Parts: sequence; C-alpha cells; structure tokens
Amino acid sequence: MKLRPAQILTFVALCLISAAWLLPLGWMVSVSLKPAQEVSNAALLPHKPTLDSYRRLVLPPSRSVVDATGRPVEPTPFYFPLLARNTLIVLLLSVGGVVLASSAAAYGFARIRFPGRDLLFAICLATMMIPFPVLMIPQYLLFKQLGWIGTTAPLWAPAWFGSAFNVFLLRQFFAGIPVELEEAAMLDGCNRWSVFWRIMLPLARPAITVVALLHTLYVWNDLVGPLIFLTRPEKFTLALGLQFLQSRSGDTPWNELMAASTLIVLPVLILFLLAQQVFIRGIATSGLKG
Amino acid sequence: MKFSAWLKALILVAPALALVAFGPRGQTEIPPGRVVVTYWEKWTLDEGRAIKAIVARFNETVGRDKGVWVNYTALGDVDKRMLIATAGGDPPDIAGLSDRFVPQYADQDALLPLDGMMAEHGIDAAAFKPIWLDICRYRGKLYALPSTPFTIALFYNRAHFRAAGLDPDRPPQTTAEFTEYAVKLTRFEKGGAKSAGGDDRIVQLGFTPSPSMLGWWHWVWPGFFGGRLWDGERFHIDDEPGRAAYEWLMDYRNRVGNRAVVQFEGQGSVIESAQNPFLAGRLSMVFQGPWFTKWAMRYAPDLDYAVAPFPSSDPARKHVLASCDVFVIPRSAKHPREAMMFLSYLMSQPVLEELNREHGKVSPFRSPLPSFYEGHPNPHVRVFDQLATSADCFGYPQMPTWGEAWTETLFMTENTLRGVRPPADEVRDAQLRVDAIVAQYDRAAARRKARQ
Amino acid sequence: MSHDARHRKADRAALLSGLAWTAPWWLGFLLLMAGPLVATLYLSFCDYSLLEPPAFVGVENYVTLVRDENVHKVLWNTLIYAAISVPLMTALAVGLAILVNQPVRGQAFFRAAIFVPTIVPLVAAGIVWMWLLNPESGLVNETLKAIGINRPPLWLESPQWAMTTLIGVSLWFVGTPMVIYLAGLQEIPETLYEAARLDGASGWGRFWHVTLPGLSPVILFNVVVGLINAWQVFALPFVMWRTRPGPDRAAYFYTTYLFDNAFTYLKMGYASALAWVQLLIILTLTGLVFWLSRRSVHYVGR
Repeated sequence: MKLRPAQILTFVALCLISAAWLLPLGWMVSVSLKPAQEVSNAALLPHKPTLDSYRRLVLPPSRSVVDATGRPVEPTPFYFPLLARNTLIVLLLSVGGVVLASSAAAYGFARIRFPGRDLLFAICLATMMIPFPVLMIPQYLLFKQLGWIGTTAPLWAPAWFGSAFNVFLLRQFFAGIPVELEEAAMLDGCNRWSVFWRIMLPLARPAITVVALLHTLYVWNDLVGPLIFLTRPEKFTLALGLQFLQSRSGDTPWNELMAASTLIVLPVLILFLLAQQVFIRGIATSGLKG
Repeated sequence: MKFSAWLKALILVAPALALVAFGPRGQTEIPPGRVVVTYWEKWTLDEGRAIKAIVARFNETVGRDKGVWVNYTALGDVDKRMLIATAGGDPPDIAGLSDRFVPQYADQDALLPLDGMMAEHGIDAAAFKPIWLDICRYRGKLYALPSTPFTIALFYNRAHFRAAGLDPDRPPQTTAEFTEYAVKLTRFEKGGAKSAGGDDRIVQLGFTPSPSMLGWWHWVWPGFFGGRLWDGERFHIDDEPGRAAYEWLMDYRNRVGNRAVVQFEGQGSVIESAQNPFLAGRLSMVFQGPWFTKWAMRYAPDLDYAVAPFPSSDPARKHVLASCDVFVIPRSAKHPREAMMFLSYLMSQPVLEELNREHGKVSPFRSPLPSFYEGHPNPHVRVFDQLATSADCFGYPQMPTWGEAWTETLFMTENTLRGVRPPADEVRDAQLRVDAIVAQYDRAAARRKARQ
Repeated sequence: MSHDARHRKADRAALLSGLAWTAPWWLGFLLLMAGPLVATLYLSFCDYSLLEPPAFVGVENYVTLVRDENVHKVLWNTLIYAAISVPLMTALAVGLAILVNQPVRGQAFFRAAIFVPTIVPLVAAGIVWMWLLNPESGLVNETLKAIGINRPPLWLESPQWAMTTLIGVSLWFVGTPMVIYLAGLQEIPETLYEAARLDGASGWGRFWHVTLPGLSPVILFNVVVGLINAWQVFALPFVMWRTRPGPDRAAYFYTTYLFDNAFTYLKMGYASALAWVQLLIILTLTGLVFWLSRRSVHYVGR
C-alpha cells in the first residue's frame, strides 16, 4: 500500500496530540528528578537531575541517612515495595473475579431473553448512580459484621460479584457479536457454557482486556476504599501511601510526591503497552479462528 | 497464544509475583500482655517522627510498667475516618483532630468528657495558658486536650516598608493605620498594560484577605473589631464589629481600586510554593501562622520580613486568633482509661513542649521551659507564644453548626471582596442564612432531647 | 392449551437460565448493595448525624432540599458540566480512537501517550495542572502571551472561566473511553468495510455507515457512563480548588455538596435524600438516552 497523504496527516496530528497530552506528565517527571533545593523554582527542566527521590522511596527504610543537622531522617511513609505488594495482592485476588463474574452476568443480560431481564438490568445500571458517600456507612457496618474491617477483603471480595460498570460494558460488546455464530455452535451440540467459553470470551477479547485493564487502574488508584477499610500501615495501598507525602504544614516533598506518582504510573503503563496489542486487528481476528 | 506473547506476559507477571512472594511485609510487633491503645493521627514525615519518638518512649517506660501499648497510626482525613468508625461502633481510643470539630462532636455526645480523668491523673489545668484549654472546652466541659497550638500573626516585608518610607521596626498599631500602610505599600505598573477595566496593573499589593491565597480563617476580621461570631446561643456577623470589619476591608480595596485588586488576587497559585505572592515579594503583608516561617526559609531564604501582632481597631486591645490541634477520646472507645494514661504522659510539660518544638508550634504552657526556645526551629516563636497570653485571644466559634457557618462566611467574604454589593448587604444576608441553619439545628437538637 | 404450557415451560427455562447466568451480579447486589441501598432510602427520611442513632422525620429532608439555594446552584453547575463535557468527551474519544487505530508508525506510543494521564494519581494531576494554569508563571499563559494574547484568563480564579477550565482539564482523561472505543473498533468485521469500499463509499461514508453503527452499542455505554460520572464529578474539582467550592461557587457540584453534608455538616439523612434525588435524576436522563438511542443503536446480535 502506498503512503497516502491521509496517513501522513494522521501521523502529524497524533504527534501534536501526544505532545499536548504528555506535557503535564513531562512536568511531573521533571519535578521528580529535581534535587530538594531546586523544587521551588518553576524551571521546566531540572538543573542537576538526581534519582535521590526515587532512591528514598524504593530502598529499604533502614538504609536511610542522617540529614544536614545530623538527625536521622524519618523513613519515608511511601515505601514503594511494601505498598506495591499490598496493592498487587488486592489486584491479583480480584482481577480474575471481576472478569469472570462480569462477563457471565453480561452474557446473561445480552443473550438470554428471560422475564424481568430488563428490570434487573435497569437495577444493575441504577447501582452505578448512587453516590458512594451515602453507601459508606451501611457498607462499613456490613463489613464489620463479617469481620473484614482492617483487612483487605472489602477491597477485593466484592469484585467476585462483578461490577455494574463492567457488566454493562461487556453486555454492550456481547450484544455486538453476531448471534449466528452461537446458533451454529448450539446446533453442533454445544451447551450455553461452552458457547460462552469457546466463542463469546475469545471473540470479546479486546473488551475483556479493557475490563481487566480498567479494573487494574481502579485498584491501583482507589483511595476511598482503602481509606475507610484499612487501619494498619502494613496493609496500606499505593494511593493511601501517596496521601502521606502531602504535609499540611509546609513540608511537602514535591519531588518525592512526583517521584511516587511516576512510580505508580510505570507498572500500569507497561501493562498497557503489552495489552494494547489486543487492539491490533491481526491478532484480534486470529483469536477468532483459534 | 504465540510464544512472544507468552514472553511478554512473563515479563510483567514474573516481577509482580516475585514481589508478592518475596516482597517486604510490614508488621507491628506488639509485646504480649499489653492493652493496645489505638491512636489515629494526621502527622507524617517530620511531624510523624516527633510523635513516633514520644510514643516509642512511652511504650518502653510507662507503658511497660502499666501494661499498655500505644499503637500509633498515621491516617489521612482522621476526622472523617473517625466519624465512620464511630458510626460503625469501633472508633480509635485516641484521635488527633483539629479544634474546630470539638463543639460539633461534643454536642453529638461523641467525645468523652475529660475533667474527671484529668484531675485523677493530676494534670494541672493552671499550668496551661487559659486559651488553650478554653478551646478544648464546650459548654463548660473539657472534651479535648491541646496538642499543637498556634496563633496567627502579621508577617510584613521590611524591605517594602523601607521603600514606601515606613519604619520597618514599627508595624501598624491599629486597623486604621493598617489601611494607611497598605495603601502606601501598593504599587502600580505605570504605563504598563491596563486591566480589562482600564485600571493600572498592581505589581505590589499591600494586603489581601482573599480566602484563596491565605488560609481557612477568612471569617476572622470582625474579631479585630471586638466581634465574636458565636455567643453560645446565637451567631453574630450583622452587628457593629461585623459591619465595621467588612467596611474596613473594602475601604482599603476601594482606595487602591478594587478591580485591580481582584485581578491581582486572581493570580493566586499553590500557596505553599515560591510563587506565593508574599514569598515572591509581590505582597507586603500577610496574616499567617508559624509554619509560614518554615515556608519562607525554604522558598525565600533571603526575604527580609518580621512578625508582629495583627492590629485591632482599638489600640488598647490586642485581639488574637488562636487555634490548636487536639487529642480526643471518642465516647465509645474500648480503652479510655489506658488512653488517658498516655495522654497524661503527653501532657507533662517536657514531653508536650518537645512535640511542639519539633513541630515548630508554640508551647501550651503558661511559662515555657528554657529548653523549649533553645533549638526551636522558628526564630519568631516568642512572638507567636506571647500572642497567646493576650486577654483578647479567641479561637474558632464554638458552634456545633460551624461547618455550615464556615462555608456561608466564605461565600459572603468572597462576594464582598469581589465588590458586587455593599458589605452591609452581604453581611445582613449571611446573618439570615446562618440564623436559619442554627434554627434548624436547634429544632433537631430539641427533638433529639425530647426523645431521650 | 398445550402450546401455552410449552410456552410457559420455555419461559421458565429461560428465566432459570437467565437468573443462573446473571447470578454473580444479583447475588452481589443482594449481599452487598441491597441492604445499604434500603438503609440509605430509610435514612433519607431521618435526622441522622452519624454520631447518634437516626430518628424518623418524614419528608422534611426532601422539603428542605427543594428550597435549598445551594442545591439550586450545584444542580445548575452539574447540569452544565454534564451537558457540555459528555458530548465533547464522546466526540474526542471516538475521534482519537479512530486515529490511533490507523496503522501508522508509533501506534503503540500514541495510544500510550493519550492513555497514560488516566493512570496518574489525581493528587499529582491536580498539582501539575495548578502549576500549568498559574496565571503568572504557568506554561499555558506563557504560551498564550507568546502568541500575542496579552491578558490571558485567570483559569482557576475567575468565576467566568472556572467551568471551562474544569471541562478542559477533564478532557485530559479521555484515555478511558478512548480505549473502550478502540476495543469496540476491533469488533467491527473487516468485511463490512470491504463491502462499503466495493460500493464506492468514501472515507467519510465508511465512517458514517460502518464505523458509527458498529460502535453504537459502545457509544451508548460511554454516554451513559459518562453521564453518570459527570453527575458524580467530585475528585477533580476537589484537587484543583483545594476543597474550596471555587470562585463564586463556580466549581461547586452536586456530589461535593452531598459529601459536605454527609461528613462536614453531619447531615447524613439530608445527604441520603440528596443521593436519592440524584439517583432519580440520573435514572431519568439515562432512560431518556436509552429511549433516544433505541433506533440509532445497532446491535448485530439481535
């Protein structure tokens, strides 16, 4: 295929858009590389870039040094390996659940015509519309009854019941898959489960990837859940730890705050780069045949 | 899946699993046989270091003797976290709150009164400067103990004073003089770009009460005219001091041109930064707390400034805004006696002064120990400390509906400063709105009482 | 008669099968949501301060709500925000998804570049934008001044610009809907494009007759979810105006006010009433969207 002007235009447009979208991030990374003395100046690039902030967040607390006045430096409240581990545990315990439960429910809503389906689906949508602040207290009481306060269970267990957002998302995708494929399989003697497992799930791979990706993002950055349900520092998650780098009285280490944010972004960015291949047509359709 | 896809998945999953399997596991080791006192606090970073050191010392000494272990946990939004836990029936044993929550929570019966236990532990109320315990009291009962107190003072740029022909060692003594100073300190960009309304642009402003640039005490101004917003029953802003305060604020602004001032204030930025207009040398006077010294050291080490009491309308009076973080024991706490054991340890003068020195705050005690001032990071600490001895000190209005009144006064102040309507009108409307809020609360409270 | 019976039997089988498949969701709903939802409904008829037991007061909260000036203000703000940001976001996300779906060099990079802001912790994003939008030293106004705009707006501090600024910044988070559209694009069979090409359809024609109908179920999803999210806008204004409601309450939104009532004013009963009114509003709007979309959403699967 020859290079058409439209393609060149697309490329240029994408370059410009990416630059605009990345600019604020560039500033974030730039501040994270600034040494403490430079943080206050508004210059776009650090004068003497350093990895000190990262070192402080990643190296074990015992290796902390003394400050200029000779006092031991307080270990960082954002110890990345610990927080990342806790967050990963919540993620690993929930991501399979959210994908399986949501896609099963979505399949039911998309493909099976049963009495009361539309009402049930409407209720499902409605649960997204209740603002969380008013649900907090009743849910807190519920989880307390279950003895889950202070544990990570309230953060991952609900995922195994799916989430309205993902059910809705997958329902829309399933509804877009031609019903003929399914009917053919049913005639071949497949039951609903094998249709779902062998046809729907592989066909909806891009959508499932999106669900897994967005769930990861949610777990990674959720502040409210951990804030309410976690009480012990050894269980704290990344988003919660980030709160502790903000001081109310003028000690906020801006460079460390930005370094922590960059550290939070990196793993999900890598995940995205790997996952985005699902959105390349060749692979998506080869999945269809296999 | 193709081999390369597996490989890529492995790249991501392997480190994740390795981290889960071999990663660090934080844990709190609590010696067996101790009663665990849960203590939630907002301090992290350097402030956290100070309190953690004290907690550790308690656990090793008094705590060991009495079989108590204080478990310190730093949390964000302690007040909301505590509300939810209290509603859920398992609050912490001690919480570090801001003073403004005390009346609200005390009125709802959520805090344990401490008078009795304080006497039991031999804590001498007379050793404290009166204002700090007043702040902790609600309707005659003590519901909190002071942790890190501070007063708010006038910071002024001495270089600006000199340039304007003012004596840098003589800060304004009355609110009227303050206005004169502020007018003299305001400078315009002559011949520069005009504002949208055709005014000259302000390059240096004398003073601003803009809530977006200063802090959370936008409601303070009637205080310097002798007004107190709450008398225990009723809210007062539409009275002599209230009207005088807002007329006074607008008088200065109108003399230099309010449109230009509003334009200047709109440039507000991250207040804790080198772009803070006072630290950047574009604002001559500011009303701030002791932490502002720390910001100055950090972001503008060469700034030539001084700290003084904020002037009152009556030169014979010295009205001072005092505020304080506090310790409380929730009423449904599991271990109130053990919690009080720790609090009484904290209330000993050397310990509490150590905490406040490390935090750069003032001492809550009547006569601070010499060691308090030695090595205090704030060179102006004596000014802030002295201010708290004034007979005209005042804290937050101790009204249970302060949250709403705070918001209403914020809207009112912002609207007044924008200069849309005369201050008297704004003040009158705010009074009516807060009156309605108070009346509604009183109705609900009466109903509550009737049920009990 | 027997026909009816067979019908009924088929119905029952469908019901059982439907209930079985949707079980994860409705079990979760019954266990985790139904109780709290009913509790919230009850609390909306109560005087409840969180610290003392709730007391029934009838419809008082709803009467107060109708007269509350703050409710009028936040309703208006939220409505404006939703009405502008949802269509803008939809158009931008669809456009970007189509762009990054083109086979150009660096495709993965472009996708990541647009997506990555959604990963950034909101706290950091708020700080970054406050710096960028600073009227004096911020990069945005520096740029505007460089191209000859002498008096660029006070983005955050002027009541006239606050809403525009917020909507503008919210577009930075276009990554989420974009990725969903991107997944949707993979679902449109290549054969449809081929057929359109054979029919001589132009690029625009293919977009209009193949891409849009193919994406329509996903567009419906994003519009509904976008509407719900816009109505619940809370965190972004919170970090951009540092807990203040913005200049002249220009950044004061429904959920912010609800949150204030629940946890600052300790009026959980009133907050619950606000929540149920919000539920009814969004439900109506969503119903409207579904009704409007019934012709234009094209499900291949039906």
